[in-house]
Amino acid sequence: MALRRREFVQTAVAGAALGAAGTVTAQEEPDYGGWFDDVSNYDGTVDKRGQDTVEIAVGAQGNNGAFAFAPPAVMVSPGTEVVWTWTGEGGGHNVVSDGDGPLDSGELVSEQGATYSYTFESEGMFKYVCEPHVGLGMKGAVVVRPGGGSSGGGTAQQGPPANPDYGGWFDDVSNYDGETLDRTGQDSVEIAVGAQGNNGAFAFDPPAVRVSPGTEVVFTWTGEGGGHNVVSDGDGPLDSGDPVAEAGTTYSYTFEETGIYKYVCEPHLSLGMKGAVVVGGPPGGSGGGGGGTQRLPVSGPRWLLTGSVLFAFFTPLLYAAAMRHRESTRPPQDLVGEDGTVPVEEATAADPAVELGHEEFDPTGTAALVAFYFVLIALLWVFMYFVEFLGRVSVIG
Amino acid sequence: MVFVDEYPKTSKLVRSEFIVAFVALGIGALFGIVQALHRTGMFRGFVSSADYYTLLTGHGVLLALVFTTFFIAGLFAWGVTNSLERELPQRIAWSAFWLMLTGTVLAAVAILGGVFGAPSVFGHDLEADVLFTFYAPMKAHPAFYVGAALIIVGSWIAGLAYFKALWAWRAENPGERIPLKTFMIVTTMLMWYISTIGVAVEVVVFLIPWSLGLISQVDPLLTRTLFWYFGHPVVYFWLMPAYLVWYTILPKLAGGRLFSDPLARIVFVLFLLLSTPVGFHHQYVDPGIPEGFKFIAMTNTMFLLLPSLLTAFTVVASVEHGARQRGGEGYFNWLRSLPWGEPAFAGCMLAGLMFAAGGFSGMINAGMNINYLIHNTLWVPGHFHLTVGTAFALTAMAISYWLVPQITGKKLQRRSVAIAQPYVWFVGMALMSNAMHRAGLAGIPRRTAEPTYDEFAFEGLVGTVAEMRLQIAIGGLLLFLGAVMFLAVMAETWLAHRGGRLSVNSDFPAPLSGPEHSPRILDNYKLWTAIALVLIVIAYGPPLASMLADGVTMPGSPPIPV
Repeated sequence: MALRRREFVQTAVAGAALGAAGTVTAQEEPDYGGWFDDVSNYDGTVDKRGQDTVEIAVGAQGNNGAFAFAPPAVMVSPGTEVVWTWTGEGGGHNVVSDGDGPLDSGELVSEQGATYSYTFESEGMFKYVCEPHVGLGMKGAVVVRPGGGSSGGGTAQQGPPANPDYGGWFDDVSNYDGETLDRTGQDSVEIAVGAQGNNGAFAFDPPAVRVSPGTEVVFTWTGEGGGHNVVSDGDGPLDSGDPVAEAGTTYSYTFEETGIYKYVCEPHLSLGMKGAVVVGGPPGGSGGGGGGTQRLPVSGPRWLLTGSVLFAFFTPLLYAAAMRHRESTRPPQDLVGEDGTVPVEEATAADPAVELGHEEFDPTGTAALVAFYFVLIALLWVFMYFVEFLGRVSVIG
Repeated sequence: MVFVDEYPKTSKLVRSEFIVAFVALGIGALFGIVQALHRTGMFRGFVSSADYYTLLTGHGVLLALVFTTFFIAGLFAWGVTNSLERELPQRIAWSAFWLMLTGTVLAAVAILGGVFGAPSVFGHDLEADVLFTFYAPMKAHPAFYVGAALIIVGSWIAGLAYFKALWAWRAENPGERIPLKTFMIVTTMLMWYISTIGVAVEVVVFLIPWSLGLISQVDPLLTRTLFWYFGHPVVYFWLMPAYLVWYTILPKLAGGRLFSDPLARIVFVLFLLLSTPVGFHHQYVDPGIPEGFKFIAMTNTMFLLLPSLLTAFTVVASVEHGARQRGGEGYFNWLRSLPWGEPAFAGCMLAGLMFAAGGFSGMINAGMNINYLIHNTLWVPGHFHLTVGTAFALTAMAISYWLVPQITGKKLQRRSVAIAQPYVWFVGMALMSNAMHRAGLAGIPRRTAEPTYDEFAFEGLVGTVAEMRLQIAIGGLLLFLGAVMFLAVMAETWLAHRGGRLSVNSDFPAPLSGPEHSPRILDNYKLWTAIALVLIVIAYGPPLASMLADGVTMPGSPPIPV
């Protein structure tokens, strides 16, 4: 369903951004028609769909020297900017479409760090070469194709493992019991700041929580234990600013990328006021064998489940009521015929009070109603056009 | 003699068709209330906004395709049997039923698979979030398309049973005029055969191979055009059975006689001629279709107003005749002497009244210029909830109060609930539909789980958006209540004991002006079908030729989601 699809795209984007993009599956592997036969570093198409920009090295190792593009074959989403970056090795290179195509970086360039970029809007396969070294096999291709999914339920959904290794982070946190609370699949998750723990109100609760990518995590201050703040450990996105003591204060952050985010309360770090947010579900398969299968989606709406249970509960009662009613309307025994059935008869047709034939009947009332209807629709038309439509600001006005 | 005793085999068939229809009605109504509360923001706890489309698809398919087709199959089986006075050919009719049921189960499973998280079945995600219009390039599980195709093919076979019955009757009654009910049913089926070719080609030739991955792309414009080739006549496939009820049963319920049999036949012939070459009026904003093709469709659509207006006149005149026979007087006072406490009568009348309003918004839709005002806004669902959602659905429910006792031999139970039900539906639809129309004029889109946008707020000119939302939510609740009331009455009637004296009878007084006053050429199906086909070739030949000229699947699109 579309919701899952959206979540899925989020995870796919997140996964790709972490650099976890895999190669496309065999079914999806484009047919290059022998284009890569003489390219030594070609090893399948790298799936980089879902990323805004994709980088390709010009003058990478390959083809018996620094005469390769890396990766040589890449798959991107429509609208992606592809940036070619020169390594500075292998002499002067350029990037030019094979045949009629949009790519042309112009003159040969050999400086390290030079770039050429092109944004691919339309779907298709774009082959390109380095003109001086095409004979050596310095060729590449960009395949623009929407989606980015079937390849890898496994890769894209991959987050930190089921029991993440926090590296001793929680050793001195008293309210961490070794469990990472699973809150995946929720839009927003709350964490209390200043909960009981670490010999006072110096804890986050829950200290460790797992959420889905795209989840908004809301830190809510309990107002106990003095001033607290929420700041990432080392280089991280969280920073609630100066310590605050008021109850009800909130700070929220939406985690888009998978990973483990450790954070602390600066004033009480030494007391053990530390926490972590794990973003992304654990990889599929219990042994972490890589080939993760997509979770079987059984998340039907709750009302359906509740309704079914209620319905199942009330069905016997309804049935009993129906049978009771049926019993009470049993026809009298004297009507039942020999074969056990009761004869059915229709109501008698009532005779009209006045018999009106073809000649005597003039439908004057119908004429009156028809006239009334035409007046009514004329008024409705006036209302629709002059009041409801012309009454508001029109484009011409 | 009661129908169930006279024609026990066809009675069983009609009962089976109705049960499927009513189950679909119940599930579809549940999806409806969830959506009404969701998109108005009253309660969004049932489903996530991303699943809204799954429910929207379920609502549309179960109500507009399954409920309608099965109910119509039952009603037509009764109508042919009743007016030709013979049982239907059972083997054909039952194979049609089982085929349609198989198709329904396939489509429903594909849609409901989306609610349960789209497990992969036969290598494809089991989901169908493609809406009732199932436009390419949105792609559903192949089971959905196969199911839709089976429902259509099943309805074709059901039609064959009516033709066989008619041929047998003709052989025994040479030279006689076809009885009115059978005439209407056969005309409707001819229209249905002609118009469903479009969707059958779309599904079988394009969408099924495409969803299976056998062909990589389809031309969205071509498949949309084929859908709407069927998409407007299907509206008449819903309405013509309602008209059949209004022409042949309602006058008698009012205590009168049909005003004119020939006029009724002319109306149905006009529908056969004009229902199909109008589909482009659903595609006024589609790029790639020249204005001229759209213009032809518009003029045909405007002609198509004529039979509906003729119907309004004939039916009201017939009902007035009933009122006069009951002693009604005056220009408007006669309305008071009608049997408003009869659930079948009241339901049909309220449905007809709502349809008069639906006719108004339909005229707006049909106009090429003012269509741009309301295209793809909430106005459009507001419109078709008056037509299929009330003119058809309320008529179907109302006539069930009259028909189900006759096909079961059981007295209608909970009569007081049945009497109140059409009024509950009417009030609910009045609230919901008028608010939807006005919200559409304010630009609020249809098919949207959360019609709110950053830094932009819709404004109603008369009334506020909050007030419209409230009306839609309250109206939706009342409609759901109305559906539950109807289903409760039906369930209890079904469970009741057979026998005794029913509160309905099946006498049909002769029309004031009978078929002897009409030219025999009206019964010449070959002529009318030929003219209908010529009109279709004029309206659809050049556009389809130009769409096929650039390659059958070109310009193409791969499935979405990829």
